[in-house]
Amino acid sequence: MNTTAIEVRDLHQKYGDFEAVRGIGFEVGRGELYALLGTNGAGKTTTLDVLAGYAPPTSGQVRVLGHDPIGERAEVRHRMGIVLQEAGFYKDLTVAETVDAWRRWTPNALPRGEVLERVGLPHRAGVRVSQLSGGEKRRLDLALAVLGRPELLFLDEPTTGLDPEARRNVWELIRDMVAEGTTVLLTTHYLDEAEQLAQRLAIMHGGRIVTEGSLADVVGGRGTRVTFRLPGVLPGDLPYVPGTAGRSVTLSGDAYTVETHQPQEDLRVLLSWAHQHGRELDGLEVRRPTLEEIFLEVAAAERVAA
Amino acid sequence: MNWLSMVWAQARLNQTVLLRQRGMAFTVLLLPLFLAFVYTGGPQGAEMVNGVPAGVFAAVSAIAVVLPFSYMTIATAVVVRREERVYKRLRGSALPTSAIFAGDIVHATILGAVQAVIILVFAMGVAGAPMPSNIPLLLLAFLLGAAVFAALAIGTAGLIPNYEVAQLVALPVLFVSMFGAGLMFPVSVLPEWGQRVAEMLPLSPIVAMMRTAILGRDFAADAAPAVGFLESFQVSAVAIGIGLLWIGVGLWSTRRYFRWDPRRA
Repeated sequence: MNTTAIEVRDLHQKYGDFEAVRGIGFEVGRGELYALLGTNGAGKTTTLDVLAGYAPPTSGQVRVLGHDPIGERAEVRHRMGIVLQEAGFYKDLTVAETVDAWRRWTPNALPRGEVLERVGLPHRAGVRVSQLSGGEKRRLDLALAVLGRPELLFLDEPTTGLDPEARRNVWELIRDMVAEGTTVLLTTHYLDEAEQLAQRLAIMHGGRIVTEGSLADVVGGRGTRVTFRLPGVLPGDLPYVPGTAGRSVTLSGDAYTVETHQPQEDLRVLLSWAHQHGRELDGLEVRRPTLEEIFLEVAAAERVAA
Repeated sequence: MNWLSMVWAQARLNQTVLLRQRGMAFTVLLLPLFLAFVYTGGPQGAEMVNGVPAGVFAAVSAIAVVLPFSYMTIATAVVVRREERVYKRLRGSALPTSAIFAGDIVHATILGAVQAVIILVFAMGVAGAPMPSNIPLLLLAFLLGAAVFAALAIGTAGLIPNYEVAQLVALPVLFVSMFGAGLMFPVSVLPEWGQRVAEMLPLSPIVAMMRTAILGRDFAADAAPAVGFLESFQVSAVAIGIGLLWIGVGLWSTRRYFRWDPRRA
């Protein structure tokens, strides 16, 4: 059996004059969870629309489970599940009626009770879809997507707009699916979601993949941020030797950001300096770079290169 | 899981959804029957039209009223499902695209068929219409009409932005169809060119075929001579041609304007 679930080669996608996707390529292996990260407008949903067979590529090639998702749709449509960012339900049907209706045309469908159990909705079976909360609708989305025991699951921002508990429940469900061998392609604009779930990921920006690889490759290569405010202190007063590799110090107003590859050592130096000088490090924070910072860095690097 | 069972599942779901929307259900299920009864129950019913009592003539024509209602059912369903992104979800499921279309059409056609039978029974039992003289021609007329209005519904849905406009568009379609088919007043009161135009409207050929199929006469000819079984197919040839033409218009418009994604997107 082919070990590649998704293959994308030099995909371009245009809407009129606007090129939403500008030549991307990646591969997702079977059983893998691959995340496409990006801000709104990065081209994630467009990419997913092409892979799920909603739109033919303007140019380039995509293969899903070894097939063309539009031309050979009959080969793949019952083998994949799709959670769209925004899709409607028949609002006047109940949860149970909705699942029952979908079961009638889904081959090898899970029993209704089992699928509702999986997504944590059994107690809402008799409720009309229009009365579900946002999180519950998302879970029903997932229920319909996993109903046919898909080999491949497309999830377009599955947790956007959910409260923290609902998010965790959805993550749990996705982990279960992956554990059972389902391939998952996930789009998200939350770095922590990708960190929680993905084995590999690509960051999209302006229709291109700007960086791709394992989580460690993408995030690990970037320094930890130490931020604090020190009014009246000049960068030269800090206990850091200027020009040291692996560390950069930036000042914006009275807020410092120290980006470092040795966070523990640099923090120790900083804290003992503050202690000796009797200074208070206002709003001290130590964190990994946010997705936005990675974007900005990558975008800046691209501008320099161009 | 074969294609037909998927289509049937879609049609069934359409019916469940329709019954939940009371206003729409009332319009689509009961209004055609109501209209048919109103148009056949008038006091002018005793007058004779080409040797047939006017009441019988109208009752027979009223069967065709169900077809513009099929148009309303299908066009509204397509527009609402597109705008609410139900189609987007359905197309991402195991359903083939063709089964989604077919389910919508089969549902509306079955509704129309049940209503047509009720009106036919009424026409025979109450208005005094005879037993249809050519049942195959009657079936052909109904199926041709169902195809014409389904094609027009799907063909025009792409031009309709939302549910409200779908309802607004359905009304003139209904009135123009009924007017052209002579259900509101006899087309013969129109000037010559008006009559020619009326004959070309989508419902007119269907009504003409139904009259011939039930009453066994050719109303296009002077004094409406009685026609035999095969002859009644022959005299319906022009009507069939006009129907096919409208199906062509609907298919062309579908190719040109149909869209799965919301217009507001």
